[in-house]
Amino acid sequence: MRKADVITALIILIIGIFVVYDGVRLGVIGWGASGPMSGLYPFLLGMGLIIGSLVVMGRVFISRKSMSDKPFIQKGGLRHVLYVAVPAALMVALTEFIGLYVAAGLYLALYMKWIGKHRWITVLAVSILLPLISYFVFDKYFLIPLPKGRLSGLLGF
Amino acid sequence: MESLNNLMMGFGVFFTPYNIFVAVIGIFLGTIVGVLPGLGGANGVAILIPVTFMMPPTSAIILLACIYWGALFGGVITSILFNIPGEPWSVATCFDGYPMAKKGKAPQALTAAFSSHFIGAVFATVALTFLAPLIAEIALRFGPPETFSIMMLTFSAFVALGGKSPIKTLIAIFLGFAMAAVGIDIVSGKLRLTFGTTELMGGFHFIVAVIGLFGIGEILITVEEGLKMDSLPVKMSLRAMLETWKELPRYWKTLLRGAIIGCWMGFKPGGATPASFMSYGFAKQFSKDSEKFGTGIMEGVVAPEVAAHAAGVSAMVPMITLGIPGSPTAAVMLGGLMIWGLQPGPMLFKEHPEFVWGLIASIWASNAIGVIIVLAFVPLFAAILRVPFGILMPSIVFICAIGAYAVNTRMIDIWYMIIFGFVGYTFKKLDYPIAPMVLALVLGDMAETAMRQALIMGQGSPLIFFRPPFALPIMILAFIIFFWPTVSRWKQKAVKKRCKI
Amino acid sequence: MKKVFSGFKITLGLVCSFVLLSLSTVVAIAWEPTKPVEFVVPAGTGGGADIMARFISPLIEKHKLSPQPFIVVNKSGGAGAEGFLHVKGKKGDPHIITLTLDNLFTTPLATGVPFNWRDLTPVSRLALDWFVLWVNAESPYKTAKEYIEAVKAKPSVFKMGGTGAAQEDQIITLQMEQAFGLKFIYVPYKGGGDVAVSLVGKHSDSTVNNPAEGVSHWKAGRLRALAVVDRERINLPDWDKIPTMKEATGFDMSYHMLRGIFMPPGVSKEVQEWYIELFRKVTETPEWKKYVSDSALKSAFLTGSAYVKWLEEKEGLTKDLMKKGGLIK
Repeated sequence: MRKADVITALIILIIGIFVVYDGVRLGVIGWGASGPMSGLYPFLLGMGLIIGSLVVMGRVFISRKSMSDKPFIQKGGLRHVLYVAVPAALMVALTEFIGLYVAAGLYLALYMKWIGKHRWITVLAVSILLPLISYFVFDKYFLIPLPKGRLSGLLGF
Repeated sequence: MESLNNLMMGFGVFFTPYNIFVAVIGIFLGTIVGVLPGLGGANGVAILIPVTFMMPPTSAIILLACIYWGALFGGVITSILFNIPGEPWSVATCFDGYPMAKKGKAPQALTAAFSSHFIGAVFATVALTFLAPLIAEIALRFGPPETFSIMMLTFSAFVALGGKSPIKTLIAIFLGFAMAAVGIDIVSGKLRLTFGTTELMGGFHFIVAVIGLFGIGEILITVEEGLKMDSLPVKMSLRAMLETWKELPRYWKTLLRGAIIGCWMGFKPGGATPASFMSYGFAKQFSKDSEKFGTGIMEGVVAPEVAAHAAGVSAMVPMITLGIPGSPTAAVMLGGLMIWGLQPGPMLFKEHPEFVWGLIASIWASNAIGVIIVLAFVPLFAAILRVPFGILMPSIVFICAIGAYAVNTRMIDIWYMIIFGFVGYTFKKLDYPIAPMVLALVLGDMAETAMRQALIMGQGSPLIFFRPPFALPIMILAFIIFFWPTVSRWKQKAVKKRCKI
Repeated sequence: MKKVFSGFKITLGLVCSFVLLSLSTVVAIAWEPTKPVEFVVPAGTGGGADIMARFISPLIEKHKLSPQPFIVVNKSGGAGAEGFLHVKGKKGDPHIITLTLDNLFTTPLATGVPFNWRDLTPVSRLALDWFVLWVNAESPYKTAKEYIEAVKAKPSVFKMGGTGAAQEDQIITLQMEQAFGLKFIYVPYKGGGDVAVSLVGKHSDSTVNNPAEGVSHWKAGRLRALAVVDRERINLPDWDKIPTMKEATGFDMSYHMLRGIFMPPGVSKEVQEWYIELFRKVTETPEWKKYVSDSALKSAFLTGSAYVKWLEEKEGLTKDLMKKGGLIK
């Protein structure tokens, strides 16, 4: 838990520095034609993030004991989380190339077969029908074209 | 009494078989649109505008308005079942609705939510029928300083929702504000926090963040405890529904407060979301079961929902009377009005009374029809939870991805969703509260703009934030609410002391 | 969800949909869109450009002007920069068009986004929007002259409400300040509707709203129109009673807002021609004519080299005004 706390605080610190940097670029002090300079607000927010994250880190080091001594993630837990996270991220990555419908179909099938251990008939039915229904609902009915990646133009859509 | 006569005329306009048919279709489509995250009432309305060319204007607006009501109803469903808010104003419903569903009380939560919607709608419709011109006049008096004071009130109502660590609550709020600041700064016209990238120019859309933080984050939290492939036990019976109704009158104070907040906030653009947050915050602060909020109690579902729907209805007031839309959906409807050859604004009441009163009558009737339809579907919605997890989970991820994309039709938003999922997961584990961050993200932009507009108007003098007659009392109220928890704790201590003596 | 699905039905459904899809791609004689056209609006939902796009796209369908639907997509990020860069990036894509306002010029100038209208293929100008100087009907100023005298007497007191910063409303405000030696407090709002309401609610002392944004309040007797920012009066009933800037104040001022169609760079001449013809037909429909007069737009269809020339002039004028007003260096 302590490590996770410090790492998260570090990331927030970095975000804070970025925000302050952009605030300074836009100008912090002064009164422009449009009231307070547009950088003032990000500057203050960024400073808040920097100070806050430093306090969190400081507290971890000083008290030598963070909020809880439980590990951030249980041993078996990490594997389960990755089982969900990795295929989802892969689906998104694939979407860039083969479009959301096909990527989602593969993702659904893979997940249901590999982790859900469902029968092939169920797997095929859901992984084909759900994207197909979504295609008609979004692309055809609501006219919101979902990403089709490189497949765009092929198959007529 | 003139209003009553007009209303009767309006009912005469509404009650034709064709219009009732149109209303049912509208509610139905609206509910679907509301259920799918990322697809809002605005999309539904925009898509159907071409269809309305063939209709008389009154039927057309009834259809569009019913889609809007349906979307208001539908937004709740995914919040309660999957912790994914379909619409921004359903976020606060997640806080108690989802824990209720986890306990197997999804039907109760849905029934409570739909019923409070109806109560909110009735309350707001009464206000709309008799007080529309008055409300419009008050709305006009609300300039940037007043808007800012309302924002302060919302934040102070929500301060009690922080986590255990005040410093982490502050960090979460600052992060939310910082995300809200990404993109164009409308006061100076400059790009902020985009670091020269196109991807950041559009900023972070609230829905995308919420789908990730709540929806994906929750899935990660759930699976960590083990991949349970079985489904949630859901007992659905008419009894559950009746029990819920029996319990509802107990929350009359929360209902009334929420309805008033909703009516009052709804006439400002984007009012439904702050209204639902504010109602939830107030309910928590003033409730006897304050500590139980967030663990899945009915009062926590009732409070935001009654306010959201009341605000949704009262958002029609500025649209009809002033020609300014109170919500994005109303904005698209305004476009529709113009296409049908009606000029929205103050003259609409005089030039087309049959249209305006037909619309108002349709709000009465269609909300009644709506609540019956959605209540009839409660068992079906609850049954979704019986789908095995191995099928449900990837399907939810897929629908979430569609939702995130549909908001802005940008690929990058799907990535943001995944990233926000991890953020939500990490934050929950490390005790960074997500609710204040989300509130800051929703309202940060509005609050900052109002503050800076007010400062420009006042030439830098902060006194403008306290100008009578509206900003001053709201600000004072905000301060009182802000310090309420401290005061009440202090009072409790004093009482204890006296008891000892 | 039911567990048993017949595999045969799925296959049949798939085959059917493929057949249907391939039918829609039958080769046409001249160029025609073969898939839905993305109609990018570089502004938010409910604004002037959005309403126009959402008006045009069903109109095209109603009159069967295109074999494929036009799908409105809002990309409002960065004052429209997101939308412009999106279209710019779709080089050679014949299935994407955009409807722009003056932010075509002002946004890149004010934000420094690497974009210029020359990066796009101009299709046609559809209409121009007027600007009117409005005050609250309860204010004592009956003419533009009276109002300007009052502002002159008390610099930095009168509040001018407008849409956004470094955009057309502020440009006109600056133009007025320079012409008459005034100083307003310019308060930016998010959209034209908000601006009009701020004037009705007396949070602003005046605005330069477009006619469509102020019309309903005007007809309800809550706003007063003082002058049109143009050389000629608006050629529509009721509107023609508003004097021009020159008539009212003696100073010649003219500013219009563009509503024009553009395509990505590198599209073929054939494609460009098809869209020009399409929008010519759109502007000839009776619905369009009614829409234009209802929202008090100046019907001004223009295309080809005349359009390009107009754009060049307009860009120069905008740049010049923004420079003079100190909005850009």
